[in-house]
Amino acid sequence: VSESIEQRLRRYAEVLDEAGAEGVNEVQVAGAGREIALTAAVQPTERRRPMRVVGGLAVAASLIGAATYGISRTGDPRVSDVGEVGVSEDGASGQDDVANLGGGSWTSLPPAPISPRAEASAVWTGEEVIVWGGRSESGYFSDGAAYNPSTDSWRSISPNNWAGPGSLSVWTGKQMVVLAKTGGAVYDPSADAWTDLPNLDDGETWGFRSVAYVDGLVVGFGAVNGGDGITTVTAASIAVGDVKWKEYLPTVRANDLNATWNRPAVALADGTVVVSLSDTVGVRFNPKTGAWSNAFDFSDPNVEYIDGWFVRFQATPVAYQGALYSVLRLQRGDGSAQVGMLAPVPDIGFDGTRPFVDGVISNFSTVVASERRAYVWDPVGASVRVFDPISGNGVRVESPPGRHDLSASVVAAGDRLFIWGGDLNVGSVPEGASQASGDGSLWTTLDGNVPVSPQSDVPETTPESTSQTSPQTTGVSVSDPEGCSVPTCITASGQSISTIEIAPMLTTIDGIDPCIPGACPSIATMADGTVVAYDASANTLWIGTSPAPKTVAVEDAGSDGGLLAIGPDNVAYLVTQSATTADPIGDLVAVPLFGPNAGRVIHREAEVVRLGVDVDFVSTADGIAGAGCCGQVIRGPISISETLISWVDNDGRSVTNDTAQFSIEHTDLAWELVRSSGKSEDSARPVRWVIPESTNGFRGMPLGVARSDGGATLAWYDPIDGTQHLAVFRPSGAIERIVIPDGLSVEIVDESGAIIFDGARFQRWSLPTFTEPTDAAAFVDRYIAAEGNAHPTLESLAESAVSFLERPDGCEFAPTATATIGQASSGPLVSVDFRFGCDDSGGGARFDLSVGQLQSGDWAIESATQRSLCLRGGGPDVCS
Amino acid sequence: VSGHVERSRGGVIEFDEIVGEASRKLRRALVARYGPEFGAEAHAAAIAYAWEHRERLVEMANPIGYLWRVAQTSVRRQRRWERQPVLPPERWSPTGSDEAAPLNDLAPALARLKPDVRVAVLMVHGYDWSYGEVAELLGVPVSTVRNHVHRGLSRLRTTLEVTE
Repeated sequence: VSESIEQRLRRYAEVLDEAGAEGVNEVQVAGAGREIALTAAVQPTERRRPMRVVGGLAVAASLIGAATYGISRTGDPRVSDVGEVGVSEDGASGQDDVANLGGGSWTSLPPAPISPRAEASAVWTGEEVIVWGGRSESGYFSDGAAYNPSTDSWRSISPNNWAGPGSLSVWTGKQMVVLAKTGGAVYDPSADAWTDLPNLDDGETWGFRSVAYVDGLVVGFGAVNGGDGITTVTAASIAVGDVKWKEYLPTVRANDLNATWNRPAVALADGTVVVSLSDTVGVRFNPKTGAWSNAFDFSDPNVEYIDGWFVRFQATPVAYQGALYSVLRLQRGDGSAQVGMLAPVPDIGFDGTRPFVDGVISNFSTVVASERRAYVWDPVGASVRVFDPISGNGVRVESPPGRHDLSASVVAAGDRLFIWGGDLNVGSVPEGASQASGDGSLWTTLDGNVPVSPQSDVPETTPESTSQTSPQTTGVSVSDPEGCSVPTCITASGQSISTIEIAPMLTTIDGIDPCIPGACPSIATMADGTVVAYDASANTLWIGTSPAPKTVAVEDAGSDGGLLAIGPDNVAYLVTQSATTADPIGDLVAVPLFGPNAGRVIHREAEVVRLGVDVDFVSTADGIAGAGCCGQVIRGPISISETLISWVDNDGRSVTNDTAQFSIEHTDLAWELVRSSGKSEDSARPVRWVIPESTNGFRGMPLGVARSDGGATLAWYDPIDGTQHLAVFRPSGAIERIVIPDGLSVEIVDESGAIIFDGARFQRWSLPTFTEPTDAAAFVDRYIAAEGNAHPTLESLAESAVSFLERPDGCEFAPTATATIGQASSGPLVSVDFRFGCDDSGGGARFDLSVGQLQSGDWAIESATQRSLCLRGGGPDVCS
Repeated sequence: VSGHVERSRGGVIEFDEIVGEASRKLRRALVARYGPEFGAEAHAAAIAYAWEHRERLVEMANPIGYLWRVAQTSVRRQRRWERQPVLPPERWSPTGSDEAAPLNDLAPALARLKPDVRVAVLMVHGYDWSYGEVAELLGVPVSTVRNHVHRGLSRLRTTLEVTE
């Protein structure tokens, strides 16, 4: 029997495991007929512990005691406190330096005459910052612009059709040279013209990964990955105007280096170039002789790690007045990070006496240097460290005003730091869903000015959730509160939030259970909650009608389909690929579930869908549209597309969905769920709720439904922590958060509740259907009318109130109530806890009854205050 | 990553205790996504990020999904034009009856799958992950994972001309 695909995949997984297995971070230098282990070559001192690598991550192997040069938060003169300016070992903090370093300001750049983009090449000419190329979601750019900080203005530059992706750039003193893959181009700003460089003779054998300019030569570095895991580093040089690259013999062989990634290369005064090969290792190359040095470590060999091990250790070479310096970033076992600038002594060693600026700085930082300053820009921490190369003093300055994330163009332009463009998607959006920035920021050092107070580095924290707060006062605003432009709309200002566990209400959906791996149907629901499933492999729609399910064979729908929604008139909408469309283009089709056209494709919108990109399909009043994921700095669904396919009836005629709709809107303060009435409803006002736990925005379009009871149900993923949320939004403003146990995911929310998938089967959840507690005023009125309002003792009044409340009040489950008698400043207070639900957990409300004594001596209720739903499942004390 | 995180030895969180299992799973997924070379690098970057943000990470319900996205960001920054992963060749299997059967066709077929589809197929059928685990990783609904797996297997069968 031939091996099945599944068996081969299982076996192949072992191959992948071995290929990606843990290795040893050993760098070998080939030269002079010998190979020397890097650690032995550059770390003669025993203070440095051997390293092992876990997944390419350098981790000290063992804990030894603190040594002379140990770094600690306190007591080490080389280390300043978080956010403070570093102080030299000799105690000379150099206030002038401090002022020079910290004094400055951010300004926003004027709009550039080119499109937003990331990874654009940029160089500082001494007068202008030239930005060219880059990419956005739509592809690579071949145009560019130049910014002049003295006039604070941009000019367009001539386009270059060469448009190499991922280009590197360097300034020669007269021209901007950009390299990519095996070629490049030269821009002369005085002529505003481009000329192409020749391609490498080696063709696709290797491509440029680093570039430097030294002694009239453009020197490009690249890497060739051998099949044995060995990376060979090589180089080539060319003088501008020459017609052929000079290619050198590769001499450095390295194992487990990041040499295939773009790395900085710096030109030194002696005509050599130092190129970074990995986080801490580099090599020096002389383009005149073609000689390579041994690989060496940019980091400080004297640094000791007293917390047992460190996680990240990065050193970036920079050149200052022709000498090699290193900007070192390290992280200690207690979680704090440091970044500092190390001086060279005299060649590849470091004196180890430079101060560090403490605090968190991410490994996504970019290091650039000018003749005056070195800058470390951290897009994650939204901060910049500014260093003086000579003193090594550094300071952290506040974040730039523009929107920048990764892959921005960052250039040290004299006393200025130029940041423009970039991706807006740190750690949140998968590939293919980014958005590019067109913002720019400029830091200008103001020598001699009052230093900017360094800000503390505060690690990112998850915003405090509003979900676990104590019960809040329930309130429904019916006025025209500020911020609510629609009269009588319900704002979020008084909404209550409760958490409800409804696991006991699970019911299994028959007919699509269990889900066979590889052939699971996609599902949707009809307006009445009937489940419809589509098995693309069998091209069959399954309708969970009662008493017996119905199957409908779909004619000529195509392949690889999925069910998106059931529209008006019970027409199913599928995404599919026809025989004539090539991946990843797909069609949308409409297929009636019932009637004479059942199973027939009565409407097709061909090639309107690009499969595999991050687009969610959204049902609107007119049909199905697409919503991109995810938006801008605050993440959420981005612009809804035009209707991709219109709703049709059973005969293929266009119709609209007149039922209520919901939308997600972002205000200055929060994400809001907006329910708009449909044509089939009265002219009810839109209702708004602040969506709890949405500080991080959303990943894609939330699942939702605007229910006919005036409320809405929403399910969404947090884009940062990946948690899934489900909440029922009540017309009163109350919000019930539904706990989703681990291992379950919400597939559908509809009028009937939600459909959950547990990894093997679909289950329907009947979301809470009990009515909300009677509001206090109505309760008091009804209580008085039904029972009278005079009792000889407080105890009898409390018992009567309890007895009244225990009567079912439209709830799905009979409530229970208990009363306590307390004392308020205004007099005795009777509190009645009203619990409802299918168990004895804490869901419910509390009525605080203010009572007074009548002339007869009887006690009577004067007024009542209702408090919110309590945490169901949280125990009885949650209402206290 | 799930489980109680204890503090010991002067308040230092046992990092390996926090990310140990998630790290191994993440590494497999990233190797499936980017191939051994870039996958391992992306994994290293993600774990480094995890260390920086470990206090926050332990509070997360889905840390592996978060680290997956961190890795994506890292790769986006570092890689320029290498898009299709270089996957190692398949080995001959003694369970196969036909030794002459092509053994190196699976890797290129996998490489041509859409990235998330490849990850879903390899994780589910190569490493026995549940759909829910893959969904957590990719940050997509389970139904999407099901479709990925179904679509991926169908394409592999078509490409490899396997009839089962």
